[in-house]
Amino acid sequence: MDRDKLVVPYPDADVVRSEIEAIVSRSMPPRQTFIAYMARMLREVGLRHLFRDWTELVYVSLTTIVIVALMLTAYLSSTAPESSMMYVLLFSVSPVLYLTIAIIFFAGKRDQDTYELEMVCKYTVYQLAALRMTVFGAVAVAVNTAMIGVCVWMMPELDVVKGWLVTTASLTLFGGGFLALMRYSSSKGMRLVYVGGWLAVNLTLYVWHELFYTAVLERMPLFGYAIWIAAGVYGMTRALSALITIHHKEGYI
Amino acid sequence: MLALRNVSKYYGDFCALKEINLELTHGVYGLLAPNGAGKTTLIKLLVTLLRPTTGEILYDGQPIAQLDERYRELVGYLPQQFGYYKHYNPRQYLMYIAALKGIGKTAAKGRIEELLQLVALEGAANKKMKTFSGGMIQRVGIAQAMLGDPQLLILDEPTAGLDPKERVRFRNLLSELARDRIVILSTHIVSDVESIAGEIIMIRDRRILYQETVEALCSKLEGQVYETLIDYEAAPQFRRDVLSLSEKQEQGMLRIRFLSTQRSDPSWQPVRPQLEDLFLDVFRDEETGGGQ
Amino acid sequence: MNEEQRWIRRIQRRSDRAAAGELIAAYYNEMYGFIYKQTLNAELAKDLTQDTFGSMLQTIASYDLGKASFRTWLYRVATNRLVDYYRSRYYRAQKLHEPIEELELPGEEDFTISLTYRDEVERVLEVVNRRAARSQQIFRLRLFADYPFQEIADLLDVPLSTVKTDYYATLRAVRRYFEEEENQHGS
Repeated sequence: MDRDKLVVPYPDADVVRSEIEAIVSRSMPPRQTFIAYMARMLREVGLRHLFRDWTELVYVSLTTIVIVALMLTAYLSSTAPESSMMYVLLFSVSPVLYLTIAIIFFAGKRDQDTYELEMVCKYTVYQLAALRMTVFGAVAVAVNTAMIGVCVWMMPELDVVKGWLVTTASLTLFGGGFLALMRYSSSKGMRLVYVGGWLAVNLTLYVWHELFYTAVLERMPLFGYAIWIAAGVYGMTRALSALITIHHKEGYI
Repeated sequence: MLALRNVSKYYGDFCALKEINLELTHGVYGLLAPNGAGKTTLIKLLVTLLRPTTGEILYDGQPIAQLDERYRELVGYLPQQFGYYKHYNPRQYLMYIAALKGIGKTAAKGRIEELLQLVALEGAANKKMKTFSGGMIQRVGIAQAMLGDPQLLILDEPTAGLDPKERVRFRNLLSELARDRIVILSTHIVSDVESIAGEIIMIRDRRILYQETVEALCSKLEGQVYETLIDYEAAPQFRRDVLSLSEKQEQGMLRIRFLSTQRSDPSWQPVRPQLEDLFLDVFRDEETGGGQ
Repeated sequence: MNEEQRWIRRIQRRSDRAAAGELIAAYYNEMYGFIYKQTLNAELAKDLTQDTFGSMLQTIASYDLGKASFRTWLYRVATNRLVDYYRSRYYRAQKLHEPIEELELPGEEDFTISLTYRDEVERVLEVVNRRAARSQQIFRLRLFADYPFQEIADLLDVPLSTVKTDYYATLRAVRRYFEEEENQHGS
């Protein structure tokens, strides 16, 4: 009797290639686009549960907005408000609302007892945080736009478009910076450092506001702002996407 | 089937669990070990809060790391420290968790009513949870874990802080729930699992020591468990020679239940080994100051 | 080896798909061969190979370049997948854990298995596929991947003597099965 020898039927090279492609695309799938995923999460979780703490959010937001408004109005009502200083002011106050809310409400939820349980749900703490920040980013832009409107009304020399570009650019810059920071460090200390750094930058800007205004804010063409904002939005989207897929790193705890 | 294959967990050089192999198919599994032995680590690995340093955890053949969101949808988890929002009532809290689990509002409403009945909280459904007793909170915890009708119900020390009556109620509830799913219950209290577990998993020295039925485990001590009455004065000497399992006062003397490999004295009555006896025997060293 | 390390790093850091493709290509045939010898079914071998590499990509974040060799790590993943497949089918037949005390006393076996003939391998697999999980891991790594006992002991973090005892116990079971078959069919 002729015994069959054990021979391994290795697949052909092209079969192997297609297998490898299948493996890679299945295990490293091009992720559902950020927007699509956010939309789905928003639909399934709902705004009411997403902003469970909406009363506190509103309270803090209103307080912040009032303070900022008072500051701006104070300047606008002073003896000789200059439009150059105004742009610089707008540049510095625009991220305040977003950063305040981000620092107080979105960052560092790991110390709570609810963390463990909520991490094992379909939508984890990090993913919800990403959605909250996305939604709130949109809110911040809306608030800024309203703020510009009021300022232009009070100081007609201000250019609405430029004002909007300046505030949005600043928001994406500092907001994005904060998100990038959060991705690598969740310590309260680092957050303070960031706020401190931002304050330092702004103080410098005040002192040299003429210089900053002429050198940067005025010279920048509209197109330049567009690129700056696009880059900022891209950066923020990347950082938020990382939050969504954070599990790729070592566990959560 | 939920399978752990060669799962180890290291934190740097510190080993929490070593070469864990487990296969779980259905019913109640009691995870029994003293505190600090690695029960919570194992639980956290099962619910994806931690990732194994080596080895894989597979559900129906697929690694849970790959299943990701789809695996979490199959899991109902009650952590040891169950955090909840005090100013919510159970209905509101359950609606919130249902949203996090991606369960639609209408489906959630119906399910929540069922669950509130199951855990006997329909009466208190509109009271704020800060007024609840420990037992009621735990019941909300079970309800939330059951929201998605999970295939895997994983509970970490769920009876800590419950009085005996509530523990009984808990046991009965779990027994019923285990009919259609896998229930994994970690505890250091033997009576919690003794009567309801299909299999007991004991962890010692960071490995699985046993995965067997209660009967099989008890029979390991067959012929080694005795009871006798002794004088209080004789007790200290007695304890040096045998492992004391429990002691009770009886008619002015001490009824001592103990472990011995031989029947050195005919007055000793052999008794049927219980799971608690095995637990004390296996973990005798760790009872005295090991673990956190 | 350096190129391989570069690929691994790129996958870990940037989910680099091209690097993933290269890494798999380097090991595809070796893994396929290892798996085929233990399934004797081309379709199943292809599926399990896909599962193995898929799992590798998913968990590569926890692979430490410094510690185990990548090849060994990959063999573990493949072995786990094989064991899981057969355990899922035959778990009723055999308990998961063999209590160590109940295994027979060790004795070197001079019964050897060669993997030359297909029918012989089939019979070996009949026995192995039904063994307890750890026994399967030890046996498969030794017989089908040629790992020395000491390395298996280090890998599974089990004493060397236990590994040998377990292996020879499985081997004895295989020999008994062969003898039974011969008695029934004559040569």
